Amino acid sequence: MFFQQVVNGLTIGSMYALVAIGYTMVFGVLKLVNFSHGSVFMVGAYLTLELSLALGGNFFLAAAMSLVLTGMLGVVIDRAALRRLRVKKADRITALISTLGVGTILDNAVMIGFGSETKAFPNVLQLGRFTIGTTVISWVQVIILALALVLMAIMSVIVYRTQMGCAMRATSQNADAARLMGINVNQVIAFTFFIGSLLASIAGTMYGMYYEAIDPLMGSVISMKTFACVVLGGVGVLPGAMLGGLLIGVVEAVGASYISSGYRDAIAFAILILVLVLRPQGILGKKVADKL
Amino acid sequence: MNSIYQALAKRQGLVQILLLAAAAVFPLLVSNPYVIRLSILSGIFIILSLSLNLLTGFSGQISLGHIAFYGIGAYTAAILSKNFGLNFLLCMVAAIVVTALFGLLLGLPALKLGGYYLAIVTLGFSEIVRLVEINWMELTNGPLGINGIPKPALFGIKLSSPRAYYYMCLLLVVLTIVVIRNILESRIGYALGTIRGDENAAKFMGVNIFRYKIMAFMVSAGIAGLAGAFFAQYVTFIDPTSFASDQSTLVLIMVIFGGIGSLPGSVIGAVVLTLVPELLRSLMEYRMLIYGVVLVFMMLVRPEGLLGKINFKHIRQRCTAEPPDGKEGS
Amino acid sequence: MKKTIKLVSVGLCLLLGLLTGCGGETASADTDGGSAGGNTSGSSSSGSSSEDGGDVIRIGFFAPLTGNSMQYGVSFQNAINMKVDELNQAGGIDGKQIEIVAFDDKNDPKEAVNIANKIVADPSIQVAIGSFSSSCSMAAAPVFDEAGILHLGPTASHPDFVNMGDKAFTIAMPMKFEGAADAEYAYKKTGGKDMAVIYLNSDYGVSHSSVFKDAYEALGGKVVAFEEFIPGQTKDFTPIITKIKQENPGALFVIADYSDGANIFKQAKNLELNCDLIGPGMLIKDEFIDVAGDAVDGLLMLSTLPIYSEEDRENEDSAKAAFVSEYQDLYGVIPDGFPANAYDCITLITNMISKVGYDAEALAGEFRQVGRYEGVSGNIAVDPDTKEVKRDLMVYTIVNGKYAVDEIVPST
Repeated sequence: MFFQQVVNGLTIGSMYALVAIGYTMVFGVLKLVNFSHGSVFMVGAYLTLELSLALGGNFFLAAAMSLVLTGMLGVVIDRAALRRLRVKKADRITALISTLGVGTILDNAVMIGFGSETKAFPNVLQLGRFTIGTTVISWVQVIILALALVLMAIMSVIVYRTQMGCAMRATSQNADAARLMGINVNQVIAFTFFIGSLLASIAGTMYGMYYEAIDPLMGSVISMKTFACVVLGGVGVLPGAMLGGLLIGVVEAVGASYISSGYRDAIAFAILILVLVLRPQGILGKKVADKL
Repeated sequence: MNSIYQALAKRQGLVQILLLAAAAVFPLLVSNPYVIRLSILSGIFIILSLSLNLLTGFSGQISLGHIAFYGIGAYTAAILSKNFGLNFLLCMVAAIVVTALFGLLLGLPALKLGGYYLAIVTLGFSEIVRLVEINWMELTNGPLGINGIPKPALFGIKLSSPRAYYYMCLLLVVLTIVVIRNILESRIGYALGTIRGDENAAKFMGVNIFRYKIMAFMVSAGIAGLAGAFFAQYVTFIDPTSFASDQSTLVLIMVIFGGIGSLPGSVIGAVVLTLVPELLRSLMEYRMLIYGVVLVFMMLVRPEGLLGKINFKHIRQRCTAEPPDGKEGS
Repeated sequence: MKKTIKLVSVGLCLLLGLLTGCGGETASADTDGGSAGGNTSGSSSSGSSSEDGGDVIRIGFFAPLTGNSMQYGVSFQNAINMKVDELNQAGGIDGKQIEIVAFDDKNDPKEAVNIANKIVADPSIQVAIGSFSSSCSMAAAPVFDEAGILHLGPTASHPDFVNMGDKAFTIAMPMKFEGAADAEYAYKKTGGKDMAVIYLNSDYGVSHSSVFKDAYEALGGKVVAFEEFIPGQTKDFTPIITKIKQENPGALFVIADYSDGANIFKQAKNLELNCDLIGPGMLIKDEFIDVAGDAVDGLLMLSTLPIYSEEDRENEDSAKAAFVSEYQDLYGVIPDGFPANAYDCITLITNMISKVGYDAEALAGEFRQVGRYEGVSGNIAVDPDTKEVKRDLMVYTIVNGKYAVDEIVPST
């Protein structure tokens, strides 16, 4: 049973990691707790589903369109709800409340538009499953884990090997200095939001395919956990988000099974608090002074 | 706008007395139980946002788990009064003590952590508290909640009419304001302000960070616990759904909306954000949508909150020192 | 500055338009009908409150009309409006028109108390119907009790609900009876196989599962696994299913709402947990089979509420057929047991009003004497002393993605 629980945990964890990678991009560059990310993730899943219904079942085209549209939604959120706050040099907590408002708007708009019922989601990857001993593993689980790793690698390349990535890191360290160096900070942030939201859409679509169901509250359920994963791994560190996600997933699964299913989340949070007390900057985080 | 603030600041004492008088007369003029209940609910949220403002606004410690203290206070009062028949005043005192101890517990990691690291720890703390409330059937009756909590009575007189609750709540609000204001105007308040400004600088100036941070957490938690104890004895039925983490963000929103670091701001923020969803009730499913739009719009137009960055004390001092010229913008 | 604000608001509106525009036609049809009625009657509540005993009978109603349980509340409202419109067109009761004063509690107990206070502030209202969940109904009950208003909870199955006031009534079978009836039937049907239970940690789930467990063990069966989950926390139940699989149960009883339930059965299938599947009526919802797919083939559904299908339009029971066809014609969907329950509530109450007049005290006395009532949602028996309700147990099996009637076990 232990191995099965680890597999379960890794799957839950790679789902968190998928969302967390996008989350940590925005988090890293803007030092902003983006409470709308979970809702964007949900919108991505809904766009894929509704577009594929509208396109008569052409799932891959729908998923691709959803990627772009959700990415654009991220840019719109930044433009509409956050850029002005940057110009005004408002407290960062103000931006946090603003993203909370955006999250509320998105959740309720989807609920009004598509209804609050849970909807069936097509799983186009009917690849079956295999067993090792008594442990059952489905191919979709393998794909989700692999996809999280691949996306993490791609994002690392973008952040550390491209000019845009360099600009992102510069903006993250000191936006004013970056502007003086001739970097178009607003453009960089818009790009970050685009990528972050695009990743959220991928995560949303994968989530839908794996659980074969989506509902308007799926974002708020996962966003708190993702926040925890990002902080646990170290803010703005891509492998940290991955590690944080997998760790919390496995702790949840093993804790639910060997300790208590009712305290599943409590165990995960207790571990998080413990790690942070011992290592305040997160597992892979670098020590920097930070103020919210 | 500026001259209004100046006028208000100059007559601060008068304004306060008038407001208090209005609040005291209010239930005598309005008998509608729905309105009274909304006022009491606003009062509870005023206490909660004031206590969170002490922590977040004046000490710079972001908490996303403030509702946990409220819940602990409510459960403490409910269990003590129901199972042990304790008088409501004793229950309230007990609730303050117990929640202050939990405040101490949460204050410890805050010594090492700041910013969003602290935010996620407080969020995790409140989730753990909620899960204990849900799972510990023997103590809290789990999701079935605690029913039939005794209503407050003093010397055999039941204080359970809507008006009695209203005045009790008003008393608690005034008490909270007085306590927090006294703290802020004492050396503790200045120490907290320095910690908020720059923790390292504060340390070098000889401020005992440990002591003041823990103190802020304990006082803030204790006041929230008091609000919880009152809530439990008011509604007489509590279950864990009232203490979910979205309520924490709601209180945080009230603080930011009213103005971070402003006591009158917290009062206004709590009242406005309790009433707005009620006023929007007829909009049915569009209600929460509009609530979100209002929130974003407000942040964009006034990022510092309704009364943020308006220091009535400074305005008053300026007014008495020199004739008003309105040079300083708000 | 003004320009930016304008830009921002335009941006937001565009965003909203984009989101709401895409799928408007799919779901809004049924909600529109409901909320429109609620809006008009809700907003007029303060205006005419002074005309006590005028020519209208005002009945309070509250349920989740927004939020994640809105589908239930809206279906309640649809059924109630349908009955009321019908009565009003026929001239009302004794020439008086009936007006439903509707409120949205978002399935939040705190809101329910606000609403209860709003309702009791209106002296012309003698009866309040609501809410969907027991938590909301029970939070509101003391307010109604104090004001002496008859409170009727369509689905308040919490065992303590009817004890919260001498005018607190429900037509739902309390969980203690339902849990025991489920256990008895499951034991008989499976031949006493080892049972695994997964339950939702809510007031309903906790009481239902503990009564079920005790009753099943009292009959001589074994409950080998008893696992809970916290609602709204996760969609991944593989950890508890894996744990259960370890115990090799012969049957799995899942107490959950349709959405979590569908996920549990699907994940149980993916983890190759092969055993009999049993669930309570709480799972019944069209979306349940949509989402769960073939993972629930053969599932035994033990319900106190009926499941309707297209064929029920030609039911031999004419009241049922009329209800189903009228509801479908009006709202475009086949009703499930929840609106049927709400329909029975309003029918019972309006029948009594025409008999004893619109007075809470008289209506409460009448309600205790209902005895056995054949409603569209099944047979209801009210105990005159305890006010507790017993209902028939309706057993359905899922065959090829459709509910098939298995048998009806009359209440004892």
